[in-house]
Amino acid sequence: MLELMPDVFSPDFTVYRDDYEDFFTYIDELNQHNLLPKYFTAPVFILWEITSKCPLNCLYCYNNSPKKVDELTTEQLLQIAEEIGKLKVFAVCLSGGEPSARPDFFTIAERLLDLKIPTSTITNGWNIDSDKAKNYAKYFQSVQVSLDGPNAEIHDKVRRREGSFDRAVRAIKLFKESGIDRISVSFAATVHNIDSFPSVVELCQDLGVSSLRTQPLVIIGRAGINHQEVPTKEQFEKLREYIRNTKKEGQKGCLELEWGDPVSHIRTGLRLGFSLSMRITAEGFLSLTPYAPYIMGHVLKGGIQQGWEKGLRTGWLHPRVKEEMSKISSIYDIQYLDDKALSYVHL
Amino acid sequence: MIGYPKRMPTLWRWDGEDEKHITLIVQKTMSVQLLNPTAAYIYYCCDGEKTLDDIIELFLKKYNVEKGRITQDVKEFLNFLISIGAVCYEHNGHSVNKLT
Repeated sequence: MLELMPDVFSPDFTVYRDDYEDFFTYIDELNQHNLLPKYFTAPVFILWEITSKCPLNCLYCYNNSPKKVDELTTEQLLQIAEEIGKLKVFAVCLSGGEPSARPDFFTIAERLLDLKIPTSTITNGWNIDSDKAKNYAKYFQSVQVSLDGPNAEIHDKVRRREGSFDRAVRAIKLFKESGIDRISVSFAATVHNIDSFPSVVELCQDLGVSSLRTQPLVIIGRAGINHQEVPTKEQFEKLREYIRNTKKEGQKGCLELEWGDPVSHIRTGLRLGFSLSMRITAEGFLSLTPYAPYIMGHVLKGGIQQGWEKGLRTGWLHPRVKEEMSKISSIYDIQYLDDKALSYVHL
Repeated sequence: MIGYPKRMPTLWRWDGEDEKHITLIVQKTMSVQLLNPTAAYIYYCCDGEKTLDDIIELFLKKYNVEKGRITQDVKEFLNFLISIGAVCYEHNGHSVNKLT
């Protein structure tokens, strides 16, 4: 029995484990005994970017939101939801842009709930009021709010919109009041806020969130353009050490601290050969992950199933993906893909 | 002991290139688990209608292995499935936490 994803509802592609060398050894042993499949019949997890609209303009946004793209219609999104149900996908994360910026956001969420697909979502909190928070509680198993600083001065600078901190904090409070059990916070570390992480930990404890996660910033999209905002390797190492030590001291109340490693996600994909997850962009393109800028299908050309069967399910074995992704040993190597990240390669 | 192992309600599917693996969500841990073909078949047999002996018999027909060994392996894996809440085991209307 192999645990594929320690947390089904992890709303991004980061692998949260410190022991992935052990994990790889285990994978090799399973492969020696032919116990692993060559591929999966459908994705286990889908990151579904339903929009590129966003009221904020964060320094580091990996898909450069807000941007104008030909977004899919409500009917097309509902069709995707049906296919997700049919394929028995185990977890979906509705993402963006800011997913709630789409007027049909809850319509899509409701359909996924009817289909019994475990769904989570990400928000910057900008649009959340009391009624909306109740809808989040109804439709989502977990919600992740982005919080990039312990105060408005830092957070608003990174997210480049005044008032965004106050709204993010208000959203967390409204989600709590609405009874959402699993509220996680993600913290994107830039040179402006990385030293304030311990204060964000305190704030999250006060707010009663379940987990606070961070990781080295992936240098793609706007983080590629604003690469001067990316912390150094030493700064990230210090942050990682802080998290390790804090965890050793024991949990911070009910708050769990998580350190992600985007490179381990790539290494896992290359090592396994088969894919577990899929990303759907706001335009309907299908790809392996936000970290690998290769398009392998479109929802309007054969749907998820065809994209999966024609390439994605073993996408890590594609010669070009394998060759280019194998060169990545740290987030700073992802930077060399920057120009490609902004203009995807169709395979 | 006559009892009926039964899968707990969850999302699961046949998986892999030959659809002999099973992937499922374990509600208790909220994790996705992959079962290899043998484990998948045991899980599949837990339909609430087959007894433990029925499942062991099915495996005896399928594999040329001594009964004691199969009984031990099936019980061991069923105990694991029970411990993670993927399967429940009922005997005379009472749920059993561990097969002995």
